Amino acid sequence: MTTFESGNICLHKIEEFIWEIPRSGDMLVPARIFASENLLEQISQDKTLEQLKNTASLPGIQKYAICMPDGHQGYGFPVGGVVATDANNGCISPGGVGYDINCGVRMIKTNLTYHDLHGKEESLGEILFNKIPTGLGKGGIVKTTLNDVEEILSLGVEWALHNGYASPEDLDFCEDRGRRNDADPTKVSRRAKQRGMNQVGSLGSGNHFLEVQRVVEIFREEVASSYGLFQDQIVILIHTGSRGIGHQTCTDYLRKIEVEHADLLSQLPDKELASAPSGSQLAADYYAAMCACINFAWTNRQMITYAVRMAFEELFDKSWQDLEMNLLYDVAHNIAKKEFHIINGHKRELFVHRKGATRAFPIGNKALPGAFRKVGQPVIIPGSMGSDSYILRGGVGSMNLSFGSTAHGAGRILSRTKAKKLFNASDIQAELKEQNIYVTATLDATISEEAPGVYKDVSEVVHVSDSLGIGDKVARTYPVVNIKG
Amino acid sequence: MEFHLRDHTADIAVESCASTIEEAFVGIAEGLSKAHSPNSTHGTKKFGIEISSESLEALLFDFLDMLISERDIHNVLPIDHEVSINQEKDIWTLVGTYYGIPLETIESREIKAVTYSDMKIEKNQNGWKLYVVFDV
Repeated sequence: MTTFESGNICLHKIEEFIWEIPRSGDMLVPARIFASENLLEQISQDKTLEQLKNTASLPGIQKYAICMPDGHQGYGFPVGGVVATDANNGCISPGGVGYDINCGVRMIKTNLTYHDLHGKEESLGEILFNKIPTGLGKGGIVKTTLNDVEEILSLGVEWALHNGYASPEDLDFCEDRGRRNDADPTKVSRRAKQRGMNQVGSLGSGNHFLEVQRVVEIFREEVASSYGLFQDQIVILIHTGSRGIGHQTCTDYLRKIEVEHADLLSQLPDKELASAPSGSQLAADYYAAMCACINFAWTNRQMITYAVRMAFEELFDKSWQDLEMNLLYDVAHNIAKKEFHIINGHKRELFVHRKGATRAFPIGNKALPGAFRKVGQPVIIPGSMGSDSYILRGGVGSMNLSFGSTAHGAGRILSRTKAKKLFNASDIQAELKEQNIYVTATLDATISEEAPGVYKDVSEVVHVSDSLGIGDKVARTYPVVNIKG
Repeated sequence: MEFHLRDHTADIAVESCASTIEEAFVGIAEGLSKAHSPNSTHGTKKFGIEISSESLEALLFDFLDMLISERDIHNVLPIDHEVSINQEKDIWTLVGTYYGIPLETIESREIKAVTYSDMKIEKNQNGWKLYVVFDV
């Protein structure tokens, strides 16, 4: 058997691209890493493997603690982690969702080709940058009251529909139709809501971005066609989350759990793994608050969609309907959801924590809307600003291997400090412009910190997903215009 | 008191060394301000905060969480911090002030949240050494 040593952790190769850390110490299940040897080498450079081992000690964990090929060190849980716990006899952990609740991506299609946009890239970048608040403290696309925020927390994208920022079809092409019915705004603190008031329709900063892309390669023609994708098509990818309201909600509940469930926490190897036992009041409260923040994030991405449509209308002097700017899909990659999965032949309700991982339900899954049930759901995997992104479809292997999940992006390999030392923002912008990629950012530092060389090779990440059958390659896109905070 | 921004794969860490716990807390807070906006200097409006927590570690977490939420609620970058810290039985209390720089007047990155990840509060013969990782 092939093994891979990383410090005092020994991984066994189960099959191509599947590595396992056997149970030891407090681990209740083994841990599995989906990676090529090259990606595993990168993953093992920080505390990812140690953090993954730690998650295997969470009460009620099922089958394996899983790390996706884009995994890297997080806080408590590794980014790229999938942890499924028994919803009735386990626990739920805010750290397994992350501070940015429902950080995720959506893709807007158009009927434009690259030829239609070429020559207008800088103008488009400027219009988008003016219409969409990026960075910190720039407000939101709309001004909202505390009451508005409460409605958004409750209604999700339906709030945008009622207020003229969405079409009925937008709901059809958003995970859960853009609304978690388990949401309870009363479980979100006033302080969190106050943070959300200035941020409805805002991109934020860090690794969040908006990118206009062109479809450069189709891998599965039939699936691409059913998704409405074609060669050279212009599409828009939006990557952001629930902003301050999600960050505050995660923090609030980490602290509440720390105090109220100190006994459980004392048995866990990392404070960031703080978990509320299934059936406890705090587990119910956190789930309701998290679902409310999920609704906020979907609405946030919807508001940005509205602004993108207005920007394209301005540039092309056509309505967004004429430009056929419809959603491909909106998927979360920081989330925990109650889902039913088969465990040892029995259907069990689980809390599936996806922290930097994307739901990837395959053909026939009843949770999918009709259009996608026949082909599998779209999965959007953003790369870095100078590299490819991918559209996958949920693979049939995902339900058995990864609780219906796949990767979520490229995954960092360099720290922000190192990135700033290695990459100069102006040089990066100039190099990208030579490749016909136009980048605008609020801060030069963001361009350096998010430079293409800072991330793993997204193509290799996607290759692992495709080879394992957890997310199948459908199309590859390439950046044209990128705006960042 | 001195503070430094430290490397972390995806995030930013701040280390602070000082002779008193109050100065060490202020060092982390100033590091948080620098992580937001390296060149910002002085705020214009003074704000007050008061926090009580069950341990010193929790107090540090709650203090930094408070500063991050104050930033979004008042739309200012907190800077020029002063704090006093007291302990009575199992309750630690921090009373402090900061000045706010209006965010619309500066270019600033967003720090999402404070984390407990690798958090350290150490007392040695020279004083206090604190280490905090922030989610970016």
